[in-house]
Amino acid sequence: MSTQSMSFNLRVWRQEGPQEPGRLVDYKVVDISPEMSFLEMLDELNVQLTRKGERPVEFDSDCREGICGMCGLVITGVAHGPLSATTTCTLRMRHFQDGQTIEVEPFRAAAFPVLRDLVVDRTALDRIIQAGGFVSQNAGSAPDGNAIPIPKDDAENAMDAASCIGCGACVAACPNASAFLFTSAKVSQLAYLPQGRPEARRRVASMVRQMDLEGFGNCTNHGECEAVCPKEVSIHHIARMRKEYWKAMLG
Amino acid sequence: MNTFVSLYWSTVGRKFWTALTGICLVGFVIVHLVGNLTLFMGNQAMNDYAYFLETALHGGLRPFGELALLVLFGVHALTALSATLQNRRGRTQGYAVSRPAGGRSHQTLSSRTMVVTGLILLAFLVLHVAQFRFGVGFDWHVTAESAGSAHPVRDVYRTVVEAFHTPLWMGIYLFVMALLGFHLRHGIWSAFQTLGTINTPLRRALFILGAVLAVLLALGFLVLPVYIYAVVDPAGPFQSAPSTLGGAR
Repeated sequence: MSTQSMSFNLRVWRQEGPQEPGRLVDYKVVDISPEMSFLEMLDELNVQLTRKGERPVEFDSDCREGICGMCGLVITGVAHGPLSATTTCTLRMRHFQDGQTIEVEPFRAAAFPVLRDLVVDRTALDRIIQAGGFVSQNAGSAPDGNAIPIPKDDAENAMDAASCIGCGACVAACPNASAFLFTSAKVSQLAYLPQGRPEARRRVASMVRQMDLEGFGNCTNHGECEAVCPKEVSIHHIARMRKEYWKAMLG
Repeated sequence: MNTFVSLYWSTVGRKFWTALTGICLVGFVIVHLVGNLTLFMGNQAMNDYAYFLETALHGGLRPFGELALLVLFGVHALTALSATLQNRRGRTQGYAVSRPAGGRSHQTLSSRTMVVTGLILLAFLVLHVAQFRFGVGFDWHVTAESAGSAHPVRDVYRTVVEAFHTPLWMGIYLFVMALLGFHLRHGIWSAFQTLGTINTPLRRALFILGAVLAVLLALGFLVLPVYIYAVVDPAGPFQSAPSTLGGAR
């Protein structure tokens, strides 16, 4: 274990409220352990700011173990930072150079208004899920196990899609601020399974319509979303969503 | 709930039209290139091909083809431009620092400049049609029966050869054809992804095959002007009468 301490020059986005103009502000943090997570490093910055009587930097976080999707920052120009398949909270400071200048910005999209500093409103994603509606279920006693045959590949694909934690990094990384990867993951996790088929056509059409109403952009297949996704959700789900959409258009 | 317009003009629905027309246009570009390559077989072969295009289906192929191309190019450009304008509204405040994540990303300079290369190609298309479809041509009577008839055919070979002995035209064509390859490098695989190619190995294969096809098409179109400029005699012989004798129309 390394016992060295690191220091960084931070350039952090500060913004008082949704309507106020924001700007990057320079801070210096010292005595940072390489084992600290990026959020713990920001905690250190906030301790320092609080002692000086300044308002701490606001950012979202919850589980701090990479499973909840609450945290999310654009670090040195990449959503969730330079390490792939990683959330901001599980990114460690050892992945940066000592003395490095690190830019920290909020996820940017017209559909993600900045509330304060690095906190953005991602409820647009919740509304897309709500637009998906319900899944028909038989009420009554518990069904027999394996009563519905599901091919192994379909089950795996549905599970891969369901691993989306809804952090919004795909939107943040997309040059078009498109929410296709998120929406397609939520479509695929049901579309691959027989339980999701009865409402599949209406579901995909409604979710895409809600996605458009929220003001997200189009997918032009850059694939940046997959590269930053902490859960490595594949863009093949986007193609899958389009295939479902064909059925909705023609059906 | 889901109205007709919102279904067929959504971010998903609209891109289907861009992709479908794009694939059709790639098909057209391939046919166009094959037609161009008849020039290597000399003026008889190329003008015979032009005569075929003008007279096939009792002369119906050309108007039908031109209308189809107009619709294909129109729909392709309109849907893509409309999507681009929407994307601009998707992020009003940009990043101070932004860099590609690398790794599994398919982002390339080609993918980021699709609208720019597309608009240049569109402007070129207008120029190209004005030059070779509506521009000055030379009458050529392909067969004995058409000789002296009311339906002479343009000496396409001569028009092309004379155009590509102008360094300016040659430069423009070289530049635009390189851009065409650039446009197709992202366009080909992207169109299949947009149409729902869900198989991941197939997608990766298309990503590579699309690039190969783009390079081959660009090279094919680049070879011709260079060949004409360097090899073909600008003075002919041509099948049409010399323009000084009033053959120009």
